[in-house]
Parts: sequence; structure tokens; C-alpha cells
Amino acid sequence: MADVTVREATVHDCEEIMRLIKELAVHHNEADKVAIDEHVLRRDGFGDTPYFHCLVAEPSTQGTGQQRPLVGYAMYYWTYSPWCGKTCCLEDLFVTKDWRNHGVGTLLWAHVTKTALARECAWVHWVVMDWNQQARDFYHGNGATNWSEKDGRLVYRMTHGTMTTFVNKRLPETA
Amino acid sequence: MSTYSVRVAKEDDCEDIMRLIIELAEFEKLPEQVRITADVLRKDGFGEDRYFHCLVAEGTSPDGGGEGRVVVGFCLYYYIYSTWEGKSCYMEDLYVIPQCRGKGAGTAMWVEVTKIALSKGCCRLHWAVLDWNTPAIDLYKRRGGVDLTEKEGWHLFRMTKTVMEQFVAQSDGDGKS
Repeated sequence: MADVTVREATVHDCEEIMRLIKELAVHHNEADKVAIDEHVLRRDGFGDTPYFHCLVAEPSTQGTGQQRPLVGYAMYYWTYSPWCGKTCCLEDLFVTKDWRNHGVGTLLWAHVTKTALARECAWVHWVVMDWNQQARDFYHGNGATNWSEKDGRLVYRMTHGTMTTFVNKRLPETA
Repeated sequence: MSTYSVRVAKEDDCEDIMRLIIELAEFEKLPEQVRITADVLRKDGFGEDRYFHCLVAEGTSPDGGGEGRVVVGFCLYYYIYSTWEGKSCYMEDLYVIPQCRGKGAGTAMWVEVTKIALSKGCCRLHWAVLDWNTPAIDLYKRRGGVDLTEKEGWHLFRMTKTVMEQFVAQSDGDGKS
């Protein structure tokens, strides 16, 4: 087990979290898709209305008072099931390459899960790419269920351009 | 032209919304899975911490009785976050009672949520649909929705409460920070 400390992110972590977000995008071969920066993270996560929460993992062995680079993060937010009430979505779970396979990811995930239980969430949910067999095995190995497989749930999306077209077409009087 | 009006749900609507939630669960063949009540909706949607937002569609009573307008549909949504693009919106439920379908009430609510999401600076609107619900899938695709499971291979994972407890207990037992 790696000697890391998991704690809640603070506003001062945004540059480091952004660095890890970009690493995750590279891992998904989608480096060009990252359109936000640390200023957006700061505004959206640490303003009056937080849109997300974040836990970070940092090495425990470095001395106090020093800026410790982060080695992983877990970003999550509260969602809602009209059948079961409060739920939690794990949006991102990432550990930097050199710190993998030492339990850091599991530790971050377990902390999010614990927080969700304290909130009385009925479940934690997340999505994973079908090609990411390593992640799928990791999740299955800890008791998670593939809900797309189990009950045929398909994930839909409308992007910004399509949203605008849709509203302009359907509510022309408000365009 | 829609004969329905769409408005923001109020605390007093919780009983009507709960009734429609149960109807939708019956339509999805999973009514036994509804665990919450109108009081829970009220606390979670209109309390100090708001976990969701809701629109309702109102029309005249479908059975012709009574006066005034009744709630004939609802759309429950909340804000989510993309680490690549920022704020997004998730449309959790979109439902219109069977007698009032085909007249634009569902689309009207969907459009209103989309408009609200855009005004909040959201870059995406997401939702899920069961793979057997062909009429809904056709409607979503006609209006520009993309099936991400089909297109990019995303799968939805979940850990329910019992499994969460086991997972945390096991992780605590492994020695932590």
C-alpha cells in the first residue's frame, strides 16, 4: 500500500488537479478535448455554488510546509434518483502512472463511497469506456455492476451546438 | 402547437410529481424499485441543500372532470460536471401521462430544460434511456441526441448501498490514511 494521504481538495489544488485532468485525457487519447483551465475549476468548484467535489491523494512522506505534487484525484457530485433519492456520481478517478497498482485508486474511490454513504446516497454510479478492460476488471473486482449490461441503459448526450439548434427551433419566440 | 404550459415545480407539486414518478416506474416495468415519498422529494428538492430541479407541464384535466389545470408531466434534472468541458446538465426523468402524449408537452419540457442549461453556461445535456424504449430513442435521435453507448462505447456502472458498505469496510480494513 502506497503511503499517501487522501484529503478534500482546496482551492489551492486547482493547478495540480488540472495537470492530472490533462494526464487522464492523454490516457484516453483525447488530449485536445480539455477545454477548461484552473480558473474554471476554481470558479465552479470553490465558488458560492459548487458544481463538483474533489478528493486528492498526495504522498505522505514529504515534509510539511512544502508544496506536494498530487498523485491522484477523484471528482464527484451529487445526483438524484426519483425512485431512491440522493445518489453520487463518480465523474473522474485517476492516479498518475508512477503511482498505480499501489492501492491509491481504491483508496480514493473508497473515500468517495464513504462520503456518499454519510450523505445517505442510495448508490454511486459512473461510466467507463468499453475498451478500458483494466478499469472494468478493477470495478467488477470490488463489487460494482455494469448497469448498461444489466438492464440495457444507454447513455445519451446533446452537445452545445445541438442544444442551441434544438432551443432555437422549438422556442423561436425566445431565440 | 402545444396546449400545455411548462413551469418550475413548487413545493406543493411534490404529491403530483410523486404520483407521476410511480407511473413512470410502472411504465419502465420497475414499480417495486420506488422507495421515496413526496416528503423526501420536498426535503431534497426544496430544502436547504437542493439535489435536483424540476419542471412540470400543466394541462386541462384529461378525463374532462374538474376545473383548472392539472400536472400532466414532469422533468427532473440536476447539474453535473465534466472535467474536460465544465458545467453540464443531466435530465434524469422526462414523463407525460399517456392520455396527454403526442401533443408536444414532453418536447416542451425538454426544450425548457435545455434552455435553462444553456443559460447556466452548460456545455452538454445528458440523459439515459432503456434500450427497449424505441419511441423515446427515436424521438431523441430525431432532435439531435447522440447515443453515446453506441457511438463511443460508454457503459454505465453502479455500486448499490450494500456493496458500498462492504467496499468501504474492506478498504478500512486494509489500513488507511
